[in-house]
Amino acid sequence: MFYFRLAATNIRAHKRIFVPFLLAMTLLMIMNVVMLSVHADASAIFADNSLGVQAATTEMFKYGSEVMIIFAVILAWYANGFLLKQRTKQLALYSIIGFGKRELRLMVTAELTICAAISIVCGAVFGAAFARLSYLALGKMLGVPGKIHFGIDPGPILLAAGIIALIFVLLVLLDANWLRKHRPLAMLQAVSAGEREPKTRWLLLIVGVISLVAGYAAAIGITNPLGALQWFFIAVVLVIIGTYALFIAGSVFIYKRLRQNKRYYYQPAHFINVANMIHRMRQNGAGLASITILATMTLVTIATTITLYLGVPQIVNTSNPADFQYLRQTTADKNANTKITPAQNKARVATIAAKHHVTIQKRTVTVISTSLPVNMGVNHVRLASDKDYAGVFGPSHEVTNTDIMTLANYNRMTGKHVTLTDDGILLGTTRNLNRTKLVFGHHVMQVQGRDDMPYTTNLSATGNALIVFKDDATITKMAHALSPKLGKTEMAAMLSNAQTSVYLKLKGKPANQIAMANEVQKTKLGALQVQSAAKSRKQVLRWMSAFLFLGILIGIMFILATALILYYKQVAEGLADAKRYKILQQVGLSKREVRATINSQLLTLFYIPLIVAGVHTAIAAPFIQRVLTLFGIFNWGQFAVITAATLGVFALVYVLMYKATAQVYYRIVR
Amino acid sequence: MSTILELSNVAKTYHTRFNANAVHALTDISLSVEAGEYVAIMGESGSGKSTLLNLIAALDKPTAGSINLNGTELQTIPESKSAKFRREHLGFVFQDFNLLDTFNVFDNIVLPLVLSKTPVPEMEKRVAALAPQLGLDDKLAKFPYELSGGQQQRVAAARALITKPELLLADEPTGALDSRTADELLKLFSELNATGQTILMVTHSAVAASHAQRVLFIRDGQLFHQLYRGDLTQDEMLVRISDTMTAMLAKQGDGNTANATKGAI
Ligand SMILES: Nc1ncnc2c1ncn2[C@@H]1O[C@H](COP(=O)(O)OP(=O)(O)OP(=O)(O)O)[C@@H](O)[C@H]1O
Ligand SMILES: [Mg+2]
Repeated sequence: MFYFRLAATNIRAHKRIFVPFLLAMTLLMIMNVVMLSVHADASAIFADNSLGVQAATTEMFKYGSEVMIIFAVILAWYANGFLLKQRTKQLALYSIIGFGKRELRLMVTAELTICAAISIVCGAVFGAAFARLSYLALGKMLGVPGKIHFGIDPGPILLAAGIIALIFVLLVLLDANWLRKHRPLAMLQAVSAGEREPKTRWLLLIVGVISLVAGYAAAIGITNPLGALQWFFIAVVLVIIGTYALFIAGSVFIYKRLRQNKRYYYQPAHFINVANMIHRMRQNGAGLASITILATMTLVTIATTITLYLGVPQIVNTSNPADFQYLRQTTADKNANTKITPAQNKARVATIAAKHHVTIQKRTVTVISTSLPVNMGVNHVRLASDKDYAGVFGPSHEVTNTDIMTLANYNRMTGKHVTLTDDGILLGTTRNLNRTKLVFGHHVMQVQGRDDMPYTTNLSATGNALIVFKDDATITKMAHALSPKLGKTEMAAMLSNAQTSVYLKLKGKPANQIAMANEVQKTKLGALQVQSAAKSRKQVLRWMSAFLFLGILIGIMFILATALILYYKQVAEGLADAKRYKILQQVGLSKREVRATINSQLLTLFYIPLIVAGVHTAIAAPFIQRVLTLFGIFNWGQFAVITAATLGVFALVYVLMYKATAQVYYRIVR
Repeated sequence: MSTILELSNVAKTYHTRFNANAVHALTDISLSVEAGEYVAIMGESGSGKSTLLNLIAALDKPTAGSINLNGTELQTIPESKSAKFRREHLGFVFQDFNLLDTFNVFDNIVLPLVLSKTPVPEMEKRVAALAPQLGLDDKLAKFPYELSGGQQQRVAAARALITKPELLLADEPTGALDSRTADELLKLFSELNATGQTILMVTHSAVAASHAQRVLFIRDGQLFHQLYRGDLTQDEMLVRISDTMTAMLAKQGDGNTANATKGAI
């Protein structure tokens, strides 16, 4: 009990160093509560989506909360080290007045216990309040599903409390070890001994340059998002390593270079800063690198989720090229088990549309003889093999999902009267493959025109193509050339399996279109795989809203973490610099000059992370854009604009945080 | 000889933020220092010596009275110019050296020159001329933590002297040194004084003070007594200083006894 009273007195007496520590630990608790809540409720937040999406997001946020725990351990370690460093003198004094190691250890443990209690309780309350409020405000606004306990689940809160408590146990052990290793007098000397000049760490510098270059090269070089997601994660890790190494070793290297340039160095504006920076970067390189990484993650998370949210129409368009579509199975299909004629099908759909006040503006019927994944090589067209998909940078450019159609069906679909010679074909692709002829085995086919593609979905890493042949006989010949092993009967079965799709252009309220789609689906009128753009728009919007909600939530977490590190840096540096600036004043630096020097130094430290974060984001942007194309967002400009805007807003927030924390610095230095 | 420093009726009162009581650090000080003089200031702890030095160095402003340094009234210097004035006209040596640990010896020495935008060749010339005199010529690339206390204090002296100040101020420069290194530093000061450097040094040590040509005694914020060395040897001067100190302390003792007596009655 005695130790607890002593500890409480200590905490009160050394507010200046304990308050930042308590703030840090509370914030870490808050962040863990939020992340674990997100993880626990991910499937509820994505309730409107498929089980696959729920499982995937749950998995994703599992990684997210694990990263958050690692981050918490690192930050707690850093904050605790700072606490110890500031208290060395006090601890030494205690030991001089007769405290043994055991007593010191008990005292420090009592202090940490009090801090743990305060930060866990405050963190749980604020974390739950923050999660709940943001869910009620933002989540409702975005249309995240309503009946969930997000933020008030006891599970994640207890789990977070357990994690933070464990972290405190780790700190107690660290402190005990620190006390065991340091003798009291050595502690006092350690305080008064000047700082050593940091050496340029060549190995770290080289590792940093190599990792960063490799990471950048990988991020830029990966042109296919689907086949190379793991490569991108490797790139991310490389860039993180590079950032830390360069901030720690590279900055010392650069400033030492600057110091060698006498004309530059011996100027009032540079003299003090360069020398300070060499020493500071060792202490703060890691802090700045953390800020940079956090800033980058914030930018990427928020920009990506906003782009997805705003991209909903595009996403819907790529998977739903028409307002309404279905596979038709009628008596026109040879092996269809139905009595409905094409005309009946058309009439019944029209009736249902009219019933729901939806007008059919245009109707297109396509008959695809068969669909094949082919490699449309310049010399030869061949069936795509596994090798074509497994390139380092994803599927090869020439791989296309190719629809095959007869000329008769093509003319019926388009209403045109195109004619072809026996060795003539029409070709259309979504890739820029300009071919004047295609070679199937030993058949050379002349491309006699570009065909209009029917409504094609654009949801894959490969391109799409439509080849129109003169008739079924030509198609059989070509198919045989592509896969000679296929027997006559199988070939006939494949070709008789032609798929007929109906695409409708509709006019009418989204709700009505959805109702129409539901009824078409329920009614037996020979319509399979009914797809309504209005319906999927609603689903995609829900999905992207959930993403945006979590993106903003996590972005806020990252920003808070950034603020915390900024604050810590200012306090730590303020304490370190206070004496320096006093000396400078005595030697003949005016208050104004001191302030200018501080400003320029803080500003350098301030801009570097922002600039580097901007560069990192710019490098990551092409890849993210490529991932976005998987969702069907092909608009590069839009993503660039959103990223730039996010950067702007983030910079503004960062300036505000910096201004606020700089006050802390000035107050200490003055 | 010309007067380089002139103080008339200087007083300094501190008002602490949380305490309504004012501290009268200096009540009424008048003194003058001639060019080329070596003056020591003695007095017990809290008598106002550091305060006096800070006022002369324009680090602080007097509450009353005037300070004239080589023809310039310190009050007339605006706050913004006082730093520049300080670095151009004064050198300051502190008890705890006050070197910047981020700078090596050379950079610590040229700090005031850099602040006044001196060209690099000129800096190098001055350091080359000064360093041997202070025994620092082989230490220029070292950092403060690599130096002994005596060496650090010599670096601080070099930093104070590099601007060729009219007046060198030193606040207990030997306070953190052992007696041998303290002797070396005092010898250095005497040599500097022999080349014409005016020195004003605060010290607790009678030995240190005995190197000076004149010793001022401060008590309760006032000039209590002063001793001229004249033709006395250093040892004779030391005896005189000790006697004065004893007298000063005795007087205070008397006061205490008087109070005690009063209390007894
Ligand atoms: N900044 C200040 N604010 C308030 N009081 C001060 C301040 N500086 C000095 N004092 C007070 O003024 C008086 C004289 O202090 P000063 O530092 O000049 O003494 P000193 O003679 O240098 O003592 P020492 O020999 O111990 O260094 C002391 O009573 C001290 O408490
Ligand atoms: Mg003093």
